[in-house]
Amino acid sequence: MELSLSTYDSGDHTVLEVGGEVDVYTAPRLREKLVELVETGARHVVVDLSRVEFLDSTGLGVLVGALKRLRAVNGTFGLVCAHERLLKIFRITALDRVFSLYDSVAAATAAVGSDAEPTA
Amino acid sequence: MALFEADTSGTSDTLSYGEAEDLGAVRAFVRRHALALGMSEARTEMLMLAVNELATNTVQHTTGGGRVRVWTDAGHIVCDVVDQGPPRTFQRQMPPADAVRGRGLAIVERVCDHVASVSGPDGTTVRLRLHL
Repeated sequence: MELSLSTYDSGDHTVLEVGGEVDVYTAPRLREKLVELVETGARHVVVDLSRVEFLDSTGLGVLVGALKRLRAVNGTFGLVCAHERLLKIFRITALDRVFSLYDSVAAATAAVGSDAEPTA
Repeated sequence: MALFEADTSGTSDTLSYGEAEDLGAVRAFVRRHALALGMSEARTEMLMLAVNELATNTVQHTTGGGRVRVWTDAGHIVCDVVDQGPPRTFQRQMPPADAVRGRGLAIVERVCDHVASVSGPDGTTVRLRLHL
């Protein structure tokens, strides 16, 4: 079982691409990466779940933790999730009403920082 | 002692698991059997999620590991998850949005058509049923 994590910057946003399976075995790596991003100054984080094949309650908990961490520093947190099988888990847990869910990274980066002051 | 009516279909298969790193194999086992028994891809995903949540509880909160078994009965997929943990209670509220933990069993009962937990000398069996 594999979890892949990679990050890149897109304007003010830090995009974390997640691939593979997020469960109790792999979730600690995702949690550590999200903590590291916030600790090193990322304030507008988008997690791209497009290549996630499995996500469970442990993974949801990690995402909730990241949302809380970013809110505490006046940051923003968006999720890119277009697959029905993942969206269903967000609906079952009512977390679809808590997270900002987008169907593409472009939509997330356009929306998530939209309340920020324009820089140019 | 028969905790539930015995499986007489002759098509069941059992997988044992013990550690968090075994969960991928548990999901693959459930997926393979559910698809082979005629379950749709979408419902197979839900069964995998439910079994994964129960097996996660096993590896996080109990000792001795567990085992999972899948078969069909009267138009349903039936799946037993057996471990040495306490009886599981259901009719759970979904935890509040800011909770980091505690959603596992609430998810299980929402994605299955029927869930029952029975404890006996061999441990606790959670039996899941989903229509095919």
